[in-house]
Amino acid sequence: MESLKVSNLCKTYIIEKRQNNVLRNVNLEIEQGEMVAVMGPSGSGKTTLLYTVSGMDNATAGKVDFFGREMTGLTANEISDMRLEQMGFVFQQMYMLKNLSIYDNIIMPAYQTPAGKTKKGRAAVNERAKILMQKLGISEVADNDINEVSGGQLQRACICRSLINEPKIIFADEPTGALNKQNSIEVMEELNRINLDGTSILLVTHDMKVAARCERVLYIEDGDIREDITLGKWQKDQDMRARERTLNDWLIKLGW
Amino acid sequence: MLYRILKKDLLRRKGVNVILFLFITIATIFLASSVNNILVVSSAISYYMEFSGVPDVNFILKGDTEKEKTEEWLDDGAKDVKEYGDSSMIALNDQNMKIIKNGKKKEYAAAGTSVYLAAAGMEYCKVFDLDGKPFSLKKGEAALTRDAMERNHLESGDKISISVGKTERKLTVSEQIKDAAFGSDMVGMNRIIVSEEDYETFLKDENAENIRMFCVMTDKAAEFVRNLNNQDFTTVLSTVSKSMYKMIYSFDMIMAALLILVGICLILIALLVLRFTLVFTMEEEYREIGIMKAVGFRNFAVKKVYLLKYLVLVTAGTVVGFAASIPVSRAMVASVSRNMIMEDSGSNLWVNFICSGCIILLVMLFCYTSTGKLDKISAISAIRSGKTGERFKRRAGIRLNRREKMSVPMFLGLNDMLTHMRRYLVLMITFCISFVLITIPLNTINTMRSREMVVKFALDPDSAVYVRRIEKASEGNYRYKDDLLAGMQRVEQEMKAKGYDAELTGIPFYFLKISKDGVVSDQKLLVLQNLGQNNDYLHYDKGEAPRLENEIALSETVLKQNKWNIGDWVDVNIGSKEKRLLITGTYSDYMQMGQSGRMNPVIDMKEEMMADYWNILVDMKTDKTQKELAADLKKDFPQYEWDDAQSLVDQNVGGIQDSLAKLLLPMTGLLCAIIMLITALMEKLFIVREKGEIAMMKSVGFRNRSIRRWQILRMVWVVLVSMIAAVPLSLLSNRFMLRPIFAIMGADVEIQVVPWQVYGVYPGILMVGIIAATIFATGKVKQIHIREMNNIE
Repeated sequence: MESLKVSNLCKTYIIEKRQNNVLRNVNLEIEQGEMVAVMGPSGSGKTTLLYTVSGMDNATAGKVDFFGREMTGLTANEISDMRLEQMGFVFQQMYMLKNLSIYDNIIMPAYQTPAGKTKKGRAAVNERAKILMQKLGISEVADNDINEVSGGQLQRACICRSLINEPKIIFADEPTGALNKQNSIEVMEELNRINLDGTSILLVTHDMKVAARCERVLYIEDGDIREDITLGKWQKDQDMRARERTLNDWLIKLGW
Repeated sequence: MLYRILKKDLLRRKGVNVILFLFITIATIFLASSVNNILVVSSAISYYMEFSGVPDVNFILKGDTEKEKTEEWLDDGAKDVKEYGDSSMIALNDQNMKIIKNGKKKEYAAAGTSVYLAAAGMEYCKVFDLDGKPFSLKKGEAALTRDAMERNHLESGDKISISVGKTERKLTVSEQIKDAAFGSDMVGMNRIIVSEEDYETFLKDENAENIRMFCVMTDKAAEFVRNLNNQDFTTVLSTVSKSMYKMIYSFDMIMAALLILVGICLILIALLVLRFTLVFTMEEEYREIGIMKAVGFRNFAVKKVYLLKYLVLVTAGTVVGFAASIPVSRAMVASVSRNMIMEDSGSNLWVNFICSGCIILLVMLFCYTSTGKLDKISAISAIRSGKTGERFKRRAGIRLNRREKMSVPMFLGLNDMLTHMRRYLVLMITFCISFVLITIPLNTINTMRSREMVVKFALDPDSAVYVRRIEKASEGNYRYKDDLLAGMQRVEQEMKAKGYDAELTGIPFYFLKISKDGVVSDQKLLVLQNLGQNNDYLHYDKGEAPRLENEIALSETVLKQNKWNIGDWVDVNIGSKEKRLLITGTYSDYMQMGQSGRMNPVIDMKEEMMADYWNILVDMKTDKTQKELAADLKKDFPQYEWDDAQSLVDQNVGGIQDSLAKLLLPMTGLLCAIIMLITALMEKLFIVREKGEIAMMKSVGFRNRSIRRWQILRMVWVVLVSMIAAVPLSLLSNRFMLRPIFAIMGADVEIQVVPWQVYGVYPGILMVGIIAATIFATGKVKQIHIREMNNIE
């Protein structure tokens, strides 16, 4: 089943009376449990695509179906609820509330859901948060302030937050963009593991190593998906170099 | 470059800049015009006193029996008398004066003042027309003060009727006058001026109650008054010194003083808001400041950018405020000149100019000290946004995971306040000031409406009603106790005939000379004597009420001033005899500014002439309120002045309660508008600061409504903390502000706090205003786009 189906999606910005068509009739399908990367040169519309298909930004035209439900006809509140309960978000910058501890930042979206408003629901959220933090190796910084942990730890905390409501899909915008090499590998391994558990992932990246870990890579240019390549599901003991080479050859062919 | 930054900055925060501009403008208007008014009034009072020939001391004798004796004493016995003069007046009671409208006679409203009739052309205590010029009256014409004319809705050309004994004259009101000595209601005396011819006609009537006013010029007024009291004059009714008049006219400055207070409050709030905005802007531009420093800008060069912006803002505000203060000053001076004659009725605009300059200087000095933080910002700390990543204290705030029931918006609101108390301090202080400010008029009104206040004016709050004057039109004012008793008996019978079974308690008062061991008190003391059954309502702080013929109670102020104690014997001159009385108790009330005595009804006062009598207590069984009964009795007995306790208290405190009650709603509205303005301003600043976090919350699925609820609930927490903090502050303001103000009238009073009003309704109104302003300001949350997450620090 498709988790996300995008048909003829257009996004136009008007800057100083000049029309700027950032997305032009984009068509895209992401199957449930698929991990897809979007690559492309700067200004090609990658981030706009991510924001528009996730309902963070309105489309100028076109249709987005999320698990068979058309998002373009939903109200702002319905889209917010959908983002809260069915989608997870990871950004390049580790955006968190400054006044809260790492742990409270993680559980905050879950406490906002209808289930998270009950005592029983909150107990379940706390249980889930502890497991997630343990899995991602940040249990020891749970009570720290956000400026008291490393970038890698903070990004893993952001991943925890994105997973706390057990979303059907995760949208990630350059999730390793602000991390060093080691932290990038760790974060990507977490995302791969989450994907293997059945969560769909759509991520935007400039990093070939990150994209090589995805099942499918789309190349976007001038607001349209020019081509895509299927690398197959990432396996833990797989030869990453072979995947990277394949991807590299494809990108060179596209003029990357 | 500076101009570019300035222009950009002024336009970027239009809302904040406009509010700051408004605060500075309003504060300048209030301060400049009020200071100007105070200076103008204080110089005008002295001029008016000199111009009108108000003597250093004037004293009034009842009748002419002691005229010659007094003149002899003034000529030979009295020391330091430079010159003196005297004039005659006729005392009128309320029944002697009527207003004639459409051929019908209506009651004349004297508002509790003693009214005298005088002839034009006096040597001292002169009267003038509204332009400050002398005037003459023809036969059949009368001139009245502005207060009297306004109170009775009289205009020039209207007719009044004056009767003295059997002599009655219809007079045409031809002049509105300025009367320095008798013109203010607060003096408690008022004059109607008639032509010399008419005056002589009235004076010839055998029932005319002649009053002789001596006007004395002396450099030692206090000593003269003391000497006068030492004489055995029995007909001296009252003594007034020039300083008393000056003090009364100084009340014209009260409004200006209040406006100065409001102006200072506004400046304080403006400074707080300014500091918050400045610190906020600096925090927001932390990196830019660091970079400017890194490329070699000196501290002052960076500061200059900020200082210049506020200099432009403050200068613009004060210039507009100065311009607006000119007509306000003129209007205030014009209102003063309605009551007084001024040498120069123009307002001195230099005062306004200097005040405006001082405001600019003060605000800029404050800005300069507030930008001190800039010196500490280094390029490195700027890159880290001021954070070092180290923490030596436990994290402030509360934990979400420990709240089992609290909603996320409520938690976020509370946590924000607890983690950044200082950030919300400006709002807390502002709210606190507002809550305390609103309690002041409320507590004043409630105290003035309290039973204690009625007792402080020697009245029984449980009486059914009160009657002011009971003389018949043919009678003059009662002079002796027996006249009063006979009058009371007559009224009781009249009431009985109409079905009112009432008992009257009259309270005559005398001015008596009191001494101890040959040492005389500074002035003649007002001594009350309750003639009737109702005596138990009077409280005594120490000792007990005088019960025997040789007992007296004196107020605490009198005991303190003379260093007398309960148990001491004092000598009191009653009639021509000196009686030795024992002080049995002490109390504090507002009679004669807290300086009075109380005697037992058994003491024989037949020979002593009364100064007057106080309101008569009317006790009877009734289901009606005092107001209702007074209205009924006014219909049945229109010839007497019936009143309820509240109106009597109001008359005695100059109608302040009424003015305050009228002011309460506009004041609440104004206060509400000011704090709504500040709340909206601060909330907008908070949203600008939290733009990134709001965008992030939106991205993870928080609805606009939840985010707005967070912001609103945070403000509610701030308001609640401020309300709690305002409670002890309000009690302190009662103790250290209101009590001393009430004490000026002569006695301590318990400030009445009605909790549901002071801690409920009125702060509730302000709270609703604050929440409404927050709801309005949080509308901006809707406009924040998820892309603005990049603004997160």
